[in-house]
Amino acid sequence: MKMPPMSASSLRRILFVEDDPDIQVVATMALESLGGFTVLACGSGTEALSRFDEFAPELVLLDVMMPGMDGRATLAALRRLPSGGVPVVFMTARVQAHEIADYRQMGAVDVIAKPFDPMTLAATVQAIWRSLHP
Amino acid sequence: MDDGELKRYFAGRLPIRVAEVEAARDAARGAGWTGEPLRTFHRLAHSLAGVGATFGFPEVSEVSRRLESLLESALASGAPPVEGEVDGLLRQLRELGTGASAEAP
Repeated sequence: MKMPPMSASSLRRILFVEDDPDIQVVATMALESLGGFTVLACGSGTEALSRFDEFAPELVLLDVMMPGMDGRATLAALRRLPSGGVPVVFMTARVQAHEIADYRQMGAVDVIAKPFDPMTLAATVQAIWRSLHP
Repeated sequence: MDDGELKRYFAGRLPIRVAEVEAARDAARGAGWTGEPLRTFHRLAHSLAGVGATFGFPEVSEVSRRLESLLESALASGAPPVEGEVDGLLRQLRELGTGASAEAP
């Protein structure tokens, strides 16, 4: 399922923050090969923050449960950066209604439930992006 | 990228992932099932449950989820998990890892 070529206003650069190396591999592969995105995968919130300006992502996919700086703390730190207002989507297995409300309250624009389907991940991300840019 | 490619990739990785969880179990046991070692063990079981499902290994996910649940109870109650149950689940994971690795083309 390859997505059609993107227009000039389309999503290109995605920062993916995830501590699990195998999830990093499969999500990066899915987003790049099926979605045509350019992905920078970071293994921790600290690494993501340090590489944020250099990569200048248009969207951030952020794992919630990470050792050290978790997704919530990473989002809070991101928002303190001068350019840290980019849309953030949480990726998590904890997706009860009150948890999703909590993520949105923190400023996440959406939530992708884990486990995710690698074959449809790129389309899901593209749909979220389109919902932000109707 | 297709499902077969993903399965082959993870079949090769599974024995390594299980060994990591076993090492975390040993560390948690050594720490008396408390503190950061127990939290790490729980986190790795949680991760393996998610990764197994993502790569199309539902049995790995199911066994890991049961392990995660045991450890979640231990974290919440402060009481150690039943070691026989923990070891039994890890034995199942090791067998699944060995089997998947052997079957991978």
